[in-house]
Amino acid sequence: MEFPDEQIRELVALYPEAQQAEEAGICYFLLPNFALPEGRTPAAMDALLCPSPRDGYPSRLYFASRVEGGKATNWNASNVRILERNWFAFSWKTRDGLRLAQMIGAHLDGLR
Amino acid sequence: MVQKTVARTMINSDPPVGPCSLRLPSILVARMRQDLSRRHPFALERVGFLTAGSGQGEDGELVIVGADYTSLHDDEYVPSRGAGTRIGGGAIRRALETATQSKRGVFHVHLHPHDGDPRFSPTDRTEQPRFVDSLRVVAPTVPHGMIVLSRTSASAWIWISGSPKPVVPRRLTMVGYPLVVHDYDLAELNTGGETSDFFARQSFLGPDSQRRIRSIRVGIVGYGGGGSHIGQQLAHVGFSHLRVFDADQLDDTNHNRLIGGTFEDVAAETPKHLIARRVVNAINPHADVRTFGEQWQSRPEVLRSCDVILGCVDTFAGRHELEVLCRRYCIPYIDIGMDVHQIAGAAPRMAGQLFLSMPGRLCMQCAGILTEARLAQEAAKYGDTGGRPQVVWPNGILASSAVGVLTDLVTGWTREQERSVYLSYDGNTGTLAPHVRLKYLSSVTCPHYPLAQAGDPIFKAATA
Repeated sequence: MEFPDEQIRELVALYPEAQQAEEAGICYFLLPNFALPEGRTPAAMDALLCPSPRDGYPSRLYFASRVEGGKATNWNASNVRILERNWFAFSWKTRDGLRLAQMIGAHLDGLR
Repeated sequence: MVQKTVARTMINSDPPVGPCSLRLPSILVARMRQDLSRRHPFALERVGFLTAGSGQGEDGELVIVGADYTSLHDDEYVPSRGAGTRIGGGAIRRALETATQSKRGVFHVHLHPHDGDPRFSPTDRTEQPRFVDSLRVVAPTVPHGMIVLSRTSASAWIWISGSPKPVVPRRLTMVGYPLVVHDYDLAELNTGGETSDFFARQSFLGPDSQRRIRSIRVGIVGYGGGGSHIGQQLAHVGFSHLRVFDADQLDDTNHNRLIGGTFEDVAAETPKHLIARRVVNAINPHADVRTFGEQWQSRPEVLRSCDVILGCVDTFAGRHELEVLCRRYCIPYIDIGMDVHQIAGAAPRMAGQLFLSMPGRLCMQCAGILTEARLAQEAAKYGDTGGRPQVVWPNGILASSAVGVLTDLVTGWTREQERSVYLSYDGNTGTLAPHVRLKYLSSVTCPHYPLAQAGDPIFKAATA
């Protein structure tokens, strides 16, 4: 799936290390050493944005491991294999029609 | 200096077998043969470049997978006094740029227009390693090499990253229906049973069939109602290299269908993977069967080295992940599944399917088996594992059919070429037939798994 250049520019402005790759027809964005909200541990880890509908969610933000601390979250995706790595995600539905950078912010709301 | 040493010592002999395997999708091989067979105004042989992805397999093996092919234009050949013709500087630069930018290996490919196993000529053995050395300089972290195709076969020399000398791959496979496998590692074949009459009644599979069956490495994911039938039958047919994954143990609720599971196993809560090992070894004590009581995602390298994988998993998400792995590493994937749908006021409906997912061809998304709606519905029921109905006989029918498809894929005994398999099972009428969708899918090109994405994923900087 192609995303408008301006959305990718916005994403890179916030996450200069962002990388992309495709698998099974879906484009993913890898966010290396992604900073997590205060009070969560670890403070940073790799994250993977799936900006397309997946498993009933309009978009998903996957993490390299479960995030600890803070309010309880329902980690309903464990060891999900994407791009040859195992990922974890909590159940969090974002609004439809968000831009790439907004999607990440919306998912982080679930950890705040 | 290195290249001269290599070239001189390799003129008369092939390199040793090394810890790698090479898989070429048959679609790509057909494209290469077609291109390389074209007449050139003055060059006797055409040349092309294959880009290849790779990934780490079992026991340190490097799995190398053909991903894309680049043809040379007519004007990229130049006359040469020694070798007759050579590749022009522009084409060589293009190959070097491809290696640098794609982060993939590059293989020099040409064709010897005859049947049977081709060998590199003395000129090939002198000239082509020089080209490979240039690739190794610009892209030292990925494997490069040279391939010679014939009309029916292929040979390859591979320079694995960090090694100055080439090796012959342990196995070279042209991945189509049927599989064309060239084994160079004879140790793989010493797994018993051949001198007896064990397989006398299946000699119709072909004069070379038992060697092919014996040498293939098969992965079984899920050793429940379907997988346990498959494991037992594969051992009987003579498949001797098996890798089995199942993280569960036998309990009351699956004793109705797990082949080989005993009353004592239920009481002892025996892990299913141990039942797999016990059953296979009881049939063939020499079998190389390795079983794992964990999710395959913990040991993906084991499956990457399999030649074929059979998936007997309960979920659509599980099927999706297995198909992704198989497409990435050019592995045929055979999926079976069944379900019983309970409808108020009507008899339960028992249905199932068998699908063969071949690299470069229709996938389970194309076939409508995997849809976002199904995956979403399944995810919404997360944690609701409670007792889906399962019985032994439909598992047996689908598993037996999967073993049949696998055996034909490996031996080619039906002589069908590039066969598509999507079977639909109706448990109420007891029929198994080609799925109605198949005839509408014959012209579809899979958009989900381009061959060019083969091997470990390559990330690129996100840029507008």
